[in-house]
Amino acid sequence: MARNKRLGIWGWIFGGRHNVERFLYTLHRITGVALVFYLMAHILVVGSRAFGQEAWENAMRLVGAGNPVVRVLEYLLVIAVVFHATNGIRLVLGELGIGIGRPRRPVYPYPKDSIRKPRKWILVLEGLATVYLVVAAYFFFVRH
Amino acid sequence: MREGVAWALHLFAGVILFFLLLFHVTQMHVALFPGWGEAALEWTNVLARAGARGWKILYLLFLAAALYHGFFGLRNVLIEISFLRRRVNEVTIVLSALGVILFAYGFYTTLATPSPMPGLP
Ligand code: HEM
Repeated sequence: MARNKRLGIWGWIFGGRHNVERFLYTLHRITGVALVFYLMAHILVVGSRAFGQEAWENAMRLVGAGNPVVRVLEYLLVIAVVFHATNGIRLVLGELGIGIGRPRRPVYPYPKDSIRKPRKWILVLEGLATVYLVVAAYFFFVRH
Repeated sequence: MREGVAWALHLFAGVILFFLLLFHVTQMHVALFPGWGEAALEWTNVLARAGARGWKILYLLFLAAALYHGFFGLRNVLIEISFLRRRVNEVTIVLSALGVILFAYGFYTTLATPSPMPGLP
């Protein structure tokens, strides 16, 4: 029955087969929702700047700018941002059909690039993300 | 707005955010240039950006793209929950209202920050 095929919230974790795209999808969703909540708080905190220098500096003290623990949390946020951004570009390319090969009938023997071409974007983009995050870590924790 | 148009805008906003957000994160945390990294939060640097017309336009574009993309994405997630699947319109209205309020506040912040040079808006 159609009803039995509905996985509900559990489908976010257990739906379909567990290929690499599926894990990326879950991470994309978690980071996306987390970023929305950060954005709301961010707009409210940054709003303090409209009320002058003192209000701004109080707000920065309140959120613990410069505190080492906060710095680690900020770095985690940057990981989320960089992952969501690079994976998001992969999804946009896929949805527009850019760089993923020609569509073909799925008949045996399967064309070997049907999986490979889309997946190379994972390696390229997450490779770039890793390089960025290593450089950023240096500036976060060594030379800020 | 037709669902397909709203979705295309979501993707388009995502591409804009790719550039603006990565630039923003780099400027705020990676001290490649004077005034970047930790220094970006010092009041003089905050004020210098707040007073420049180019920055105001960029921030407003950034704000609109992030709020639209974020809330449309959150809507996609929420309306998959069976309890909310039957209340898509209510979810849309609540999230749109929240987005408009946050945009109004960010708009106020962008335009109201004291200007470093007298006479500039
Ligand atoms: C940095 C550039 C960004 C890019 C390229 C990007 C790209 C994308 C794409 C393509 C999707 C759609 C996924 C799909 O339907 O298959 C998406 C979903 C989403 N994005 Fe972004 N995004 C970016 C930044 C952001 C930011 C800043 C936020 C938060 C304010 C955000 C929040 C979300 C949410 C909540 C979803 C829905 C997740 C889901 O449906 O599973 N994104 N993003």
